[in-house]
Amino acid sequence: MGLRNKHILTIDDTASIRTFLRISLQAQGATVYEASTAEEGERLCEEIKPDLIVLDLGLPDKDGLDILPLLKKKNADNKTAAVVVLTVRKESDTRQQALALGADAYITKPFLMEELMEVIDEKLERH
Amino acid sequence: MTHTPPSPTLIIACVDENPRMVVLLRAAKQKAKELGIGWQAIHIDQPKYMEKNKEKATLILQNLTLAEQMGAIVYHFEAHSIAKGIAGFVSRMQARPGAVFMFIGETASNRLTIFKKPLSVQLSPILPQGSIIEIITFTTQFIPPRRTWDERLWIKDISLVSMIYAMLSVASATLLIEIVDYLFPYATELQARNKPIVYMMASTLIAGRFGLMAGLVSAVAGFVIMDFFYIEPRYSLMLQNATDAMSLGLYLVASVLITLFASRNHVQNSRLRKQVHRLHSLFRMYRASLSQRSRQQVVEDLYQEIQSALGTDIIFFLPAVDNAGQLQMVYPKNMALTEEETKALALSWEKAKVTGYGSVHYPLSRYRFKPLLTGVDNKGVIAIRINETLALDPATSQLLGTTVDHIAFILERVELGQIMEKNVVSEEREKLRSMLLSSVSHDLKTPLASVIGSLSVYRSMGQSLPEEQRVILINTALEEAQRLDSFITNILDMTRIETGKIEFKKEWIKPLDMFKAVQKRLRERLKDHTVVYAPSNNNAIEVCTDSVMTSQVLQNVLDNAGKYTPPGSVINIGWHVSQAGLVVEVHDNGIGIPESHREMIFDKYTRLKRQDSQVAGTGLGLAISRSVMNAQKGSIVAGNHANGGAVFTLTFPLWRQGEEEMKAA
Repeated sequence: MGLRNKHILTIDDTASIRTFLRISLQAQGATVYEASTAEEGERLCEEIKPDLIVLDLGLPDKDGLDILPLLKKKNADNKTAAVVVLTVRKESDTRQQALALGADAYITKPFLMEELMEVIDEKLERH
Repeated sequence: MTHTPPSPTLIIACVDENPRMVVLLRAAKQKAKELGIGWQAIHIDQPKYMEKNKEKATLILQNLTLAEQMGAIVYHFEAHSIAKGIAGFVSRMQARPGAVFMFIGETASNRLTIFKKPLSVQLSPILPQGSIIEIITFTTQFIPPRRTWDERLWIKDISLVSMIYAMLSVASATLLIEIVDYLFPYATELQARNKPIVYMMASTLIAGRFGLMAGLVSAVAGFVIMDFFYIEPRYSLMLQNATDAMSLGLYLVASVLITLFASRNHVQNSRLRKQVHRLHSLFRMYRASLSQRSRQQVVEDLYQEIQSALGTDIIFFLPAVDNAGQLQMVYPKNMALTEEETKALALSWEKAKVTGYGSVHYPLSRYRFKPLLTGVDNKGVIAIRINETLALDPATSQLLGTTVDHIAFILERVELGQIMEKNVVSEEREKLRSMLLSSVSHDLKTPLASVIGSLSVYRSMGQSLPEEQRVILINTALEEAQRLDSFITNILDMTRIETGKIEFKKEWIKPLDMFKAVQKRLRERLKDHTVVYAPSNNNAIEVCTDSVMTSQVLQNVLDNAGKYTPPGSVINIGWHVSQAGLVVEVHDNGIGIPESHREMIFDKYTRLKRQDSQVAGTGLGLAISRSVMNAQKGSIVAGNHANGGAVFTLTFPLWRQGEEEMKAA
């Protein structure tokens, strides 16, 4: 249970993706929170101060890149969440932009859960 | 120290009507070749308000055309004297005075002019220092053909209206004299002296307004009436004493002179008016060229303007749209050309030369054919019908040159505009294609990500997961795979409809049956919604449509209603007959569609503006639905219901009541 006591927020507008992320992450002991819009994601991020955020870029109300700086802001405990971007956009300049705005990892869809877990484990150990 | 004269920088050949002008032109061309510079051929017209000589003008035109063909730059303008005209031309052509090499033709007769110095003598003091004047002596000269008496008197130029006015002017003058006589019966001495002045006023006014002939007629009529009515013996044309004869004679001479001057004024005025009119036409042509339109429209507009500017017939010949090498009569169409003219046209097009009337090639043509040259290529040929006034007027010939250049430029502009537009369109299309591609790849990848993600979770941790969650993972993967399938079907359908590869069947089917079948297919996705059919629906009604394609439309609409409304809400389905046909409405109870999106949702490019989207696989559904309905002459529109929620309205033009005959809306 490598994710025990970890708080993870998933922000994605596709319900089926949130579903398998939730099942997998919960099974490993994490507490999972879900948002389907950028606004909801920002609100939850402030509220729960997650350890890690899985962020989709194409959100219905805003672009994920636009809220990235807010998600990376230090919270009251002087900590920041690790942000893993999950998107269908594979253009290298989008990737560069996301990393420049503070994203910790950039994964393109579709992906295997094992790949994502490797990245999540790595990022959480570091935090 | 020897002084070498500066080398001439300008070579000018003075062109007139001499039939042997080619000798002079050859000499000038030779000189230009020696010095390695270009050469100019000029013809200067003096305002000849009393002369109209068609043969002479034709020769001048021919000589200028020849010069052009020999490589000269041709100028044709007007000046009060030839020497002054040349001096002005030289100063206009040179930034600072430099030596000029002039070629002037002289014949035996114009060298012997008593009243006027020969042109060469007039020119030598006014040309820049170091200039050389070469005189070419012509052995022949232009002899005007003998004119018939009516030509000499310009009877052809006399208009009936001007003659009537001339007579009226004399009548008014007589009336004026009679009124004054009646009002001041004792001032006979004064009257006798003033009568000639009154008649002179009349003839001056008429000459200024209607030209020389009318003025002269008025003057002579005044003379006759004065003699007949006012000079003893009255009512006879005889004269009693020498004083009367002398003053009457003086009146005639004076009034003829004044008429001459007044008519000259009249000629200049009408020339000015013509020039202003032409300037306006040029301006309008320029404006016509600014609006970006098709070649045909531009040509039609130009035709109107040139027709009014030149007052003659013209024909446009342009290359065929599909075959640039072949010339077509573009506007006006169906004009008849003689064999000679057809040959002249072909030569003008092939060799980019001026041919036809007044040129050395096929001079018997009624038309003059001028290539429309832009400096880059030949845009076509314009045929100009040459009539007497056109051939004679230097201002017109100048205008003609400018106009033809201008037309070539306008046509080039139109062509470039079209090429640019085409490029922009294809660029835009390319952009849309790549956007569509990225949108399609997004729509394919999102459900695929769910399938792969769910299955990979199942594989790696399936054993440790409770049964309930394993089912969720498998169901998610399955649903998303189905979504993917429907999306791929949509894309293929769209492509087939757009390329016309789908043939729509025509079969009679009940809307109720189609909806029921679709509902069955969407059972899983609509499990949280309630579908309600309106009690007013006529279930026996049938529409004529392709049931497979139309079911796809109904599926898209119902699926949409399910996706955008919260679980537990109701979807209402109803239909009724209207003028346009059978109208089917699917009404959901969601938040509705903003006004600004009602059309956009049917546009396959709309969602391209958003890279990812909330619900995968829906992007093209409505766009396809619209294609399907339009292809069957029906329609699909979106709107909002009065009680809230979105309404999709489908119209089927062909419907019937059960087994009845077909009814067309």
